[in-house]
Amino acid sequence: MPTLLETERAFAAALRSADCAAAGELIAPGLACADEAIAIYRNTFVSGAVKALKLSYPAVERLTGVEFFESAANAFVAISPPSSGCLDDYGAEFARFLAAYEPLRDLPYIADVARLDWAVNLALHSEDAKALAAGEFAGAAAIAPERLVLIPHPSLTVLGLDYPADAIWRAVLAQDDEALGALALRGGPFFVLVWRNADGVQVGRVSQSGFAFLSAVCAGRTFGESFDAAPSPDLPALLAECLAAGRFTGFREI
Amino acid sequence: MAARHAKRSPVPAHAGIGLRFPHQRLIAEQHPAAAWFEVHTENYFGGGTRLNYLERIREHYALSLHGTALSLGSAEGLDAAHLKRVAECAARLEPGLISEHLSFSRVDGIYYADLLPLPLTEEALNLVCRNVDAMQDALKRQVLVENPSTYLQFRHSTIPEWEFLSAVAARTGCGILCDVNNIYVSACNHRWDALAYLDGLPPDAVGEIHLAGHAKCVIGGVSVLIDNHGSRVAEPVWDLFDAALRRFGPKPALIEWDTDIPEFSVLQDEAARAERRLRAERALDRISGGGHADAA
Repeated sequence: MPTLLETERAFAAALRSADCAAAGELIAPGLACADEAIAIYRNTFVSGAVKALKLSYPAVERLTGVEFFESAANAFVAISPPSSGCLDDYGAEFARFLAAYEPLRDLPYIADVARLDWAVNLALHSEDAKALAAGEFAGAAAIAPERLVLIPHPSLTVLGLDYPADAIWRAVLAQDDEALGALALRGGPFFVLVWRNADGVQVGRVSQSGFAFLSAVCAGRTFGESFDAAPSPDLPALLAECLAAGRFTGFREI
Repeated sequence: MAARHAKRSPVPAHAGIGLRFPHQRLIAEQHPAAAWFEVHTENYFGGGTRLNYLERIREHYALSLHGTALSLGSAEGLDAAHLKRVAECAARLEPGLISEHLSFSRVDGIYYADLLPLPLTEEALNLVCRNVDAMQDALKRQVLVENPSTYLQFRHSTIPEWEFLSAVAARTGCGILCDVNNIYVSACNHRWDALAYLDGLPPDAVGEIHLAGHAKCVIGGVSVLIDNHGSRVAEPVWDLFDAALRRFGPKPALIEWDTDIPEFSVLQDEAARAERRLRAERALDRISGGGHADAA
């Protein structure tokens, strides 16, 4: 008699490969034949994962069309199935997959839109956290820059993109074909911030030095290291903007 | 209608409604009539708008957390990280009930996003009991375990599903979430006797009843019922619900609807149907001199 683990592994293999031979032998004769009964489960599994990708990548789906998206998503599910029981977590690698997806070779900006879709998905579902107010930041002045660490809001993602994915994303989700047609794809790189504050998910631009500074902050570097990554006279203005926009939750001394 | 600060309040033996995203705002802002709500636990693991709405709703209604992905049947044991997130969600929302399924969905670190059928063997029974113990230990409370809809059976299964579920409840002290639509679907698919299934469950262990719609599909020339939660409750399932109430007494009963989600008023209408049957059962119980403890 097969063990529970052997049974579960045979069944899982049949869900992933369409090869039901091993699992089929374990299944009692029933109403539907074994292959067809397994296909009911396979369909729920695959369509559930594809639906999760649709929810996380709405702009990519609109840009590529439903049929194309489903085909790409099915291919992705086959090689990179979910590992988390929370499907909001599923699909972090989809942008990388699309960047290498042969049918999209002539549309390289799609992968950048996918990175933005994913950052928005993360921002939608990240933990709640109270933003640091400008007045509360005053206490950080007493800490030496090489000992000061700023804590970014858990929803914050900093993206360096080859294409203006934020403008594409806005036009696509607003179904504004005119704006989409008028977009210039060149002129990169583009530096985009995504975060959530009391007003909801925000998508904004930042300068190259601001991008370097915030990337270092998000990587857990000290204030001193982050500033050295992007020495710029604009830093005080950037900090004030970040505080007003709720991109930090606190600071600590190390 | 539940009072403010409904936290920790028990889920009443009345008809509740499965709360889905399209209705969140309406419920948070207008407080429509509903005895209680149930949500899918995994939809509230993070923060953001969804959770904020649910916390507002929670202030006014009793709540049940219904998990779909803990995989109580996984031979590899529970995913500790997932269990921790369930515990955090429960600590934050303080639900009156917490439930999961008699199924598996995780194998070798992959999540199969469905409620997969278990071989009903002594080995699986021991394993499920161990996992239910782990869940109850982590949450420090009793949970309910739900019977799934199934589309196949394993050759090496030796225990009828109702006996398996009853044994899990007896050994772990967990309760049973009796889904009468799932019993109907599985009974039709496997030629089981649905009433015998109900008779096989210990009434005191049943803590909740689920009601939902199913679809009829023709696969390979035969008719198979699929549990898709995409329509009104079917008449034979209402009949089975009556039989369940007769046997178990009034219990919290839930209307589930997950695909082609209708207007909220349609769900209220279905809940009202369930409520009339709960009321009829209470009346019958009084006439026949009792026998059922009314938990309401």
